[in-house]
Amino acid sequence: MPSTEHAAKQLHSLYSDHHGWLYGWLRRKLGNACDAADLAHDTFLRLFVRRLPGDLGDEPRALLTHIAKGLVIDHWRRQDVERAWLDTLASVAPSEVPSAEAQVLILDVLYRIEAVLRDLPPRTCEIFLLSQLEGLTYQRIAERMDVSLITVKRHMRTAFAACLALR
Amino acid sequence: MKTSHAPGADLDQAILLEAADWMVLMQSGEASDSDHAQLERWQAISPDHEEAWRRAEELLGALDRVPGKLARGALSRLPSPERRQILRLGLLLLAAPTASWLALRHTPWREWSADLRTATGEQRTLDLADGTRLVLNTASAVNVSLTASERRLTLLTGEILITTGSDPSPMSRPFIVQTSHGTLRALGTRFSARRLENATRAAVFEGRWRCARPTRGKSPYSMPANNSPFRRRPSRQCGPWMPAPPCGRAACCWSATCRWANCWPNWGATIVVFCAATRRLPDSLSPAPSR
Repeated sequence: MPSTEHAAKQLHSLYSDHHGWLYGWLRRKLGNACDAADLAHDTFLRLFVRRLPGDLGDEPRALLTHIAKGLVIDHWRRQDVERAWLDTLASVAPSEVPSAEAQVLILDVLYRIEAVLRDLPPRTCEIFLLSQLEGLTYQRIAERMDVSLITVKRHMRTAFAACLALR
Repeated sequence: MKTSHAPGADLDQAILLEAADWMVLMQSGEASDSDHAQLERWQAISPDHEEAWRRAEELLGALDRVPGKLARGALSRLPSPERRQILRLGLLLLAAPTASWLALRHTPWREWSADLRTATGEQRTLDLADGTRLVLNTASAVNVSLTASERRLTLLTGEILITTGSDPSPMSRPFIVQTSHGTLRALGTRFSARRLENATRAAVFEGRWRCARPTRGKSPYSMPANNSPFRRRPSRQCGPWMPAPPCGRAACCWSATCRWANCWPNWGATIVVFCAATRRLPDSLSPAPSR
């Protein structure tokens, strides 16, 4: 479609105008050229996916910085999760360490859980973890936390809905 | 990259909540055949419904494949928001003086990566964000984690003295001291914890007044007052060496999670010694009888 072509052209000119300073800004923030290049790329990608460059307004810098800031915070959070995961692996017997490809899947789930739990009340988090990671039935959780079964279900519903809403 | 659904077009919150309801029902083990049939009809309502359930199944499948114990371990290691901020700021302080680098080289990594530490011969007093005053004795290291639900100090080595402040948090957050020997939940307002080789020794100097008077009922939870007849030997109220669950009861002002704990009312303090590894502690770890 011609409009897509137009948008792609616009994105291209946006990229050549703004990639330089954005990369520099990210590099200063992250102290790492590789990560900065990745995140600069992701910033434009997100811009392209989320909205057409047509409605960027006069000052695309503000929007680009805003998107990049969010990505930097995500990046740091993922680093925290990765570090926590590696620390955990370092503390278990070698036979317990999952295979490399299993680890990729696990890390992905951990990123998601971390992102969801961050915004949930502590009790909801606890119930969610007891159910999903410790494998307790709702009934057992209700007994253990001394709440009604319906309360456990309500917390689980909140947590599941938050997981599903995660982008 | 994280999830495979079409980005941008996000699903209606109402549909997500309905999908979450279905997930709860399916996981509860209470779903009947007719529930399953109804779920299928629900998915057929619209492509969005179908997409919501696809996400739900993907999520449940992914959670199922995760080894729970390891995942839980990793999540519990995540820094709290406050600590994250400190860690981020910490990047600016990387250019540490050479002298401290030399000192650090000879310290086990867990200690030098601690949030707070003192060198041999150094004492430090700090005020934490919750109003707690923390004194680190010589050669001590402690990790601080203040979250919305708890205040936790992990004592890695050495000794700390804590005077809890009036916590500004709207929720009452338990104060927890953790060592490799166990976990203590403090009810006192002023207490110390010292890591020994095989055990951790804690002393409570000020507890709740209500707990400090044995005359107020014969509850085993009450802490004997200083002039208690139990002062000179291990208190009956504290019980003999006891395994983990009852030791919370033994430690008058503390609830401890550990294998063995015992508690003595001592001159001016109640001493709790606890450990995870041994069945009982060497006598040398018992507090000296008070005069």
